[in-house]
Amino acid sequence: MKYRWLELSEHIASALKLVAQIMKEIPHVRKEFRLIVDQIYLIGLQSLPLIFVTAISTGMVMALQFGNGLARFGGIPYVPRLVTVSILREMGPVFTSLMLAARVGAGLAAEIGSQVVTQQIDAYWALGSSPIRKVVLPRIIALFVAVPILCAFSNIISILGVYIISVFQLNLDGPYTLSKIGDGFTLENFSSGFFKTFFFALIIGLSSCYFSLRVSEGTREVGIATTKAVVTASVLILVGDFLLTKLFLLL
Amino acid sequence: MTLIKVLHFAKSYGNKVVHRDINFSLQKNEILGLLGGSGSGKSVLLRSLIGLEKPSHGSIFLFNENTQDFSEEQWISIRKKISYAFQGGALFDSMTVFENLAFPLQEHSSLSEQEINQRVVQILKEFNLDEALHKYPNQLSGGMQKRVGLARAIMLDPEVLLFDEPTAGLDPLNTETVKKMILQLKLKGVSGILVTHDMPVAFDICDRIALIDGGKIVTVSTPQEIIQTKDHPILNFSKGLPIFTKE
Repeated sequence: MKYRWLELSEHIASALKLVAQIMKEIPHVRKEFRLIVDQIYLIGLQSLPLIFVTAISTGMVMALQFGNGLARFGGIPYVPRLVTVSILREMGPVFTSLMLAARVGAGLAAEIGSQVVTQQIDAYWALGSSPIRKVVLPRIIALFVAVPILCAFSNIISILGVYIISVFQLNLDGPYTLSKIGDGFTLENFSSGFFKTFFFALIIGLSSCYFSLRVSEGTREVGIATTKAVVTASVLILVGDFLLTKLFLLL
Repeated sequence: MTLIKVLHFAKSYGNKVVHRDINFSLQKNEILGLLGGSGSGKSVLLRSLIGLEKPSHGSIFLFNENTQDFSEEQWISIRKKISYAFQGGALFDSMTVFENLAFPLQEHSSLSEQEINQRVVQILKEFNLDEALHKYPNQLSGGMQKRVGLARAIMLDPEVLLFDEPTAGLDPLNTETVKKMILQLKLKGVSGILVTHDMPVAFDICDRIALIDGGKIVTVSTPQEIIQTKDHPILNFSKGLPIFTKE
């Protein structure tokens, strides 16, 4: 037990050291504009199909389940507003971030881990450069830009799914459904979910980079680091969501 | 003139002791060979010389400066003067050969894009690699990757080059090419430390050869001394015999 606590405190100290190294490189970020744009393309645009499928499924399933549950109480007319609020506040940001932790987090951890094994990370240092500036920072910034945008996209697609089920399955009137969705789509509901995604982006980026940079040898360690990065990011997203929700409710 | 001086260098990972007491120096215009069995810590020693590993004990002096309290900025400055040619090339796989070679110049020189282009093309021609210009590392053979890695290491005209097994795993033709490349650099006045298992290469290139065993340097000799001495530890090592024979 004592060993576990020591290990955890060592992880926290090393992660904070990585954060400090990243902060130190932020003034040089303008030089890496091209690398950041490349990463936004890889992380953001290439994740669109996955986010589309996840979002539309989530919206449709939630509308179906709420419709089924509320039908007994004559509550079907409440479905569009209720599900829209759930999506904007919780489901959209959390599901999008979890999917990105799996797709992007795993990809980044495997990529950087392989760069460690093939000594490319050492080569950055040896050439008088910094892998934190060249590898880590562009990916973290790209996530910081892409995750909120993908979350907004995911919210809209999910709500489209809600509309489809409400109109074609629950037989609600189209304009009525749209107006109820509009009632739920307030700035407060949208922003309380949207702002969480900046924290989730940091969690995905930091856990991927942190675990992959700790790979010391062999491809087996790359696999282990990738698993740790995805599991840690997923758990921290869920725990962080609870804490941030609590915080927003207090404000 | 002494470029590198290592005094009582020791390195351990937890309970595993790699080096106990390493002492040597590198003079200007000299190539020093480092021999030793697998796992004897030759690469760890090279990595320590450019700050990729920290010594557990002892001191490393680079250009007469003790590296013990070097800041990151001081290391960056030193790494322009001491370059490292990695065993597998360590080329950036997201960049083409051109971009790999241009990288050090873009990072550290004030050359224009056109001047960088000219310099990269010139180096690639010198190393007979012009056909690889727009290829990615995964499109190159192992030998070509090593040569490109070597070319990238000299882009900033370093004073010292650290070669980590530059001929390991190469066919005789590629070994000869890499050997000629290193000899050319030597003629240009580049000093270096060569980690290798390849005895003919070490004998052809090195001015002195050191043998690491048991975490220490057990002998440093010139190729002539090695050939002329009966039962020389380095000759014994190369033949797979016990390093020190009993009289």
